[in-house]
Amino acid sequence: MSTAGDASSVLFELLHSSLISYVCSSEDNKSKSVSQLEAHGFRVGQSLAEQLTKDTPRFKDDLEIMKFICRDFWNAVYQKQVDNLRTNHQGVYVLQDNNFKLFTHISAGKQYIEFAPQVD
Amino acid sequence: MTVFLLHIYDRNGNSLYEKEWCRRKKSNLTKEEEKKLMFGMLHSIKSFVSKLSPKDSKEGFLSYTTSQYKLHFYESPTRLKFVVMTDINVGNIRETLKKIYSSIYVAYIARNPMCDLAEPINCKLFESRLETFMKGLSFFEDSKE
Amino acid sequence: MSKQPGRGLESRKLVGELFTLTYGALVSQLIKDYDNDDEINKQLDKMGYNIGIRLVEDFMARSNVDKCQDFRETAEVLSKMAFKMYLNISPTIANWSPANDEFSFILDNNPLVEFVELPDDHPDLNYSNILCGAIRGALEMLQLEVETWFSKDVLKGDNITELRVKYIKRLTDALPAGED
Repeated sequence: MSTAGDASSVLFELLHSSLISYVCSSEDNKSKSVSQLEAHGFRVGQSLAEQLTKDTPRFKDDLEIMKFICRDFWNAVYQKQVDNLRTNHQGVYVLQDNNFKLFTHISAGKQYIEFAPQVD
Repeated sequence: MTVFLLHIYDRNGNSLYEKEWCRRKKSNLTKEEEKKLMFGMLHSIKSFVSKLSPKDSKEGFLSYTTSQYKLHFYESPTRLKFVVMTDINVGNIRETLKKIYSSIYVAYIARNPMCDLAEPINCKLFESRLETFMKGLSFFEDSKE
Repeated sequence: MSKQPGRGLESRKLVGELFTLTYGALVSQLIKDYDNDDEINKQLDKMGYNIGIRLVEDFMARSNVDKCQDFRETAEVLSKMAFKMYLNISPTIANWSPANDEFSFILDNNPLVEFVELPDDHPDLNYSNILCGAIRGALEMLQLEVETWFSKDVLKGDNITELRVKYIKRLTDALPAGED
């Protein structure tokens, strides 16, 4: 049972959950707090993607971009790759991570599922 | 050999978690009284042991044995208290108790933002990991008598 | 071809960057929500405390350190082990008070402030105040009550960043009500 992982990612997880609990407690509307978190994620993601792609040639198409997200980006953030990438070939991509890093210490089942944002 | 039960207390003596796997005799106390008395007893033994000890011992009080059962005690550096009761044939299981702290409590409670550290533990993942861990112990025996 | 970032230096750097950027997001949210710098500092300290009380459990589970004999040893363990483990820095310990109850961490490079400039209208913001709360929370769980504050900060134009730690007292376990 290897649960320890890298110490610096423990600190990241704790910081990440402080941000979430702060945003959720200062905003009583759940969809508003989710969009606030998304806006923060956007800025963080943008900077990281710039770092990660600075020595790579331009992506040819959507699929290449998605592959970058599933491999390099996911690896940088979660130290693993996305397990499965599916598409309907009309611009919709579904990324499946069977062991999402931020959840491994929280739940392996349905407990707490009511706190997850709902899919519209 | 058999594991009877496990208790976890926080630093102020509040019971965070308890699990009984096998219990042959009920005391005539309420659950609350029993937990309080156990904590009070542990607290007293712990401080008495350290007062008697000729030098500042790192480990302090480890276990005691009666004719019927053995109580094992481990206190984390953050003063969480882990108590496991087994039958008297079980040896020193200090490493096992440490492991309950370091790879189960820390991983699924301390690192779990959904769990309030001051509240009794109510986390399914913690419980199932603990259950798997305990049942995998060589001295665990799920006896249903 | 795009290569996977190695597990070594590169990935460690990215985790660090992710951390710095996420912390920046948190501070920017607080700046948006509060006008008053003192209030922001207080919020950061409180969040740090809540991180500290959890992080100390992880630290103890990993490190197996024994109880520190004195405050000097506590300072060493914080710098050489805790800071090193979680932030990959080892601040210099300096400026001990004559009574040995107060010292400073000099943060030669503070990973929280990479790419940061303090906004002009927030002159009293202690940008890295979360560190104060984290140290205070972690030590409190080890029965050590301390006060922590930034006495100097390069973001405010000082030549160094100095985090001061002051010993207050040893805490003892409370017994539940009705136990004597």
